[in-house]
Amino acid sequence: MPGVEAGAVYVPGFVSEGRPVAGPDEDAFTLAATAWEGLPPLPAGAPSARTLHLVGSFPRMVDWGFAALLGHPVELVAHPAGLPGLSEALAQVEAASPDGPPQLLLGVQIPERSGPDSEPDLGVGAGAVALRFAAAGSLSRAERSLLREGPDVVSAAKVVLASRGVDPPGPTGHRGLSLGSIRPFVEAPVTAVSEGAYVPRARYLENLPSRWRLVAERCGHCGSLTFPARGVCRSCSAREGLSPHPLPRDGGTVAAVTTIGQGGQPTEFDLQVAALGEYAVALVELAPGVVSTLQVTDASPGEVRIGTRVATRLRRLYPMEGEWRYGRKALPLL
Amino acid sequence: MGAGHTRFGALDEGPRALLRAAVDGAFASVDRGAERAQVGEAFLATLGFGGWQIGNSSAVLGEEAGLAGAPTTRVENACASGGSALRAGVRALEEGRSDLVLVAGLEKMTDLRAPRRRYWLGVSGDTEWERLAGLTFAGVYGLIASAYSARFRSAREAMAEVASKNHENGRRNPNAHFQKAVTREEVLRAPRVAEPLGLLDCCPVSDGAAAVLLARPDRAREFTDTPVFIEGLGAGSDRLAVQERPDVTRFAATRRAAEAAFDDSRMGRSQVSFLEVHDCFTIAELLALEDLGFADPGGAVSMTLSGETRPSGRLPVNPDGGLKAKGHPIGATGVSQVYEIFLQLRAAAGDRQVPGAETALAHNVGGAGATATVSLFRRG
Repeated sequence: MPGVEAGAVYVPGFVSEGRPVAGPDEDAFTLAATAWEGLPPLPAGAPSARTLHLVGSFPRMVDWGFAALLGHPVELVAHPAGLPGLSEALAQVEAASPDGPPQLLLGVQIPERSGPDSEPDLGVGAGAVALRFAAAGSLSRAERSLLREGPDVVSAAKVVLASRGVDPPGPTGHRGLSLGSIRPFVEAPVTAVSEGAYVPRARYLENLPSRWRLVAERCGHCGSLTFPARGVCRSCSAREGLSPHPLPRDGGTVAAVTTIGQGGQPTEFDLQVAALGEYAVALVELAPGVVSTLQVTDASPGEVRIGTRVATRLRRLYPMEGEWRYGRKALPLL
Repeated sequence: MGAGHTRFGALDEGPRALLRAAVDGAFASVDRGAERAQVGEAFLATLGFGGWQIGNSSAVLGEEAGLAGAPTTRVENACASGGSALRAGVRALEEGRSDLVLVAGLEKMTDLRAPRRRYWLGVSGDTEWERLAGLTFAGVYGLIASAYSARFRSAREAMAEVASKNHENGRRNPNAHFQKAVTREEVLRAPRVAEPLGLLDCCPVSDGAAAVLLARPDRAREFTDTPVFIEGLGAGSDRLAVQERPDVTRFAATRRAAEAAFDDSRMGRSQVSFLEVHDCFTIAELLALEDLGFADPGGAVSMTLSGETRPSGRLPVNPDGGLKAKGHPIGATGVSQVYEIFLQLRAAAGDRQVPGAETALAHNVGGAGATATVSLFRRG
């Protein structure tokens, strides 16, 4: 049994040609979430991780965000950003009981700017890595040294994956955007307040299983799926015998699509439109008869049509009352 | 037996002045006159756009209509508030305690800052899922239009024809917000708002008010020799979020409302002289023709392109310009449709008179089809 379970790495980053490929609707949390979702699924009945080592600079909402994303309580262990944090995290993983449940390590790095008007350092990769340790203490010495070789968290993880014969996925992300154009959205102050109807924070949190993990409810009486989950079957109105049913995150088909421009967006999306221009929104059929309304990201409007196959990723939606709200968006499968 | 209407558009008047003008117009239109004291109950249809008076706004109707002390109630079903208030008014009349019931609709929309206006334009859709994905109503109808266009040929041209026809009709309505003709080509070339819908596929943001006075049929002749009778009323609802409906190109709420209204009446569809339908976006008029049972799925395309729905056609639709050209002050719209029918069925619609109009249907939709009402009328 290898020490690191076939890990996943996600490297949207900023590439050296000066073309940004990290989504402007991404941050440390969404990058880490995407890396985690790239891990191979756990075998049925296998225990899930109860300890999560975080390497990098994360928004404060991770206090509850990762538990909501994983769907169960998790102990967070914060480490400093960069290689020192990675070393510290690895040392703690190795020191844990070999009989314990698997441990997760999520490392994120995003290029820093030296000042508000400077360009980020394009020579450094940006992105996130997720590593799942099947059991503590089983990381080989060689792997440990590879992980510490750097020059940064994501590159080090890629080296380890390569040594295990795992190909890290290549960069993916936005096309046709200039770096300058995305800065206002990336750095926008999170001060927007509601001007009327809005989703209170408590309702947002209540909806997270459906919104973040695409959890529908299957009815034990009539077998139909209800999404979003509401504690009542929408076909037969049963309130008992409903069980959580995760919908596929990586396979959906566009049933209808529109492009919002010319000031047609709700005000919550003003920052995004100012930074990026128009965007597409689609009705995506996630399973037969189960549809979700999803904004399209990582693609130019017009690229997604009725019938296009899409995957879904966690992204920032809009700022509200001091924090970013997150939810899934659709991106075309190439 | 009475109906009043303000101009629709970007108006200087505030909500109170608009209500007063519409109600005064309704009283002035009663041939043998009616007293304010005869009004036993009043209903105000309004969304409360912008928040100028979200709670208890029906008391403002009581004040402005001079109905000292009469019971007043606000009815809110988003864009279907007017049609819903009409039903409430008829029910109140049937209770038997009122000589007259007043139903008024109002919205004041243009005095807000643009961002606040956009915020309010989406509050009647599904907030948690549609809005968080970045949709206002234009976007939701854009999704519907994309699915409809993928299914039926020439749908985009038919949408453009809806706009062109309703703008042409609006030119003959002095109350209409838009008085300017547009060609199909101009509609198709207009800036996109929510692909495939462009600026000229969307109804404008308008101020305005309308009011009607209702009396029991057996007493109508005390007030006029030419009453208009309500022949049938129906209403329906559907899931709020479009994503939860099995087919986004059908409005089940409209279908239920239409079935209920025809069941309630002695009329059949072939007897209807003209339609007032809810064309907040051009695609909505096509859906309405199908869901109301005047065309098969997809059949609204050829019906529209062949000119059948023009004033000279077999079944004129929206002779007053519809929401598209007349304007759409949200709460006022459903009452405004009844005002138009009142004029038409009394042969008082002037330049835009539908020749020989005997009967009419009014169709009012809340949001993107979450609620709907259908009402049938007959000349007295």
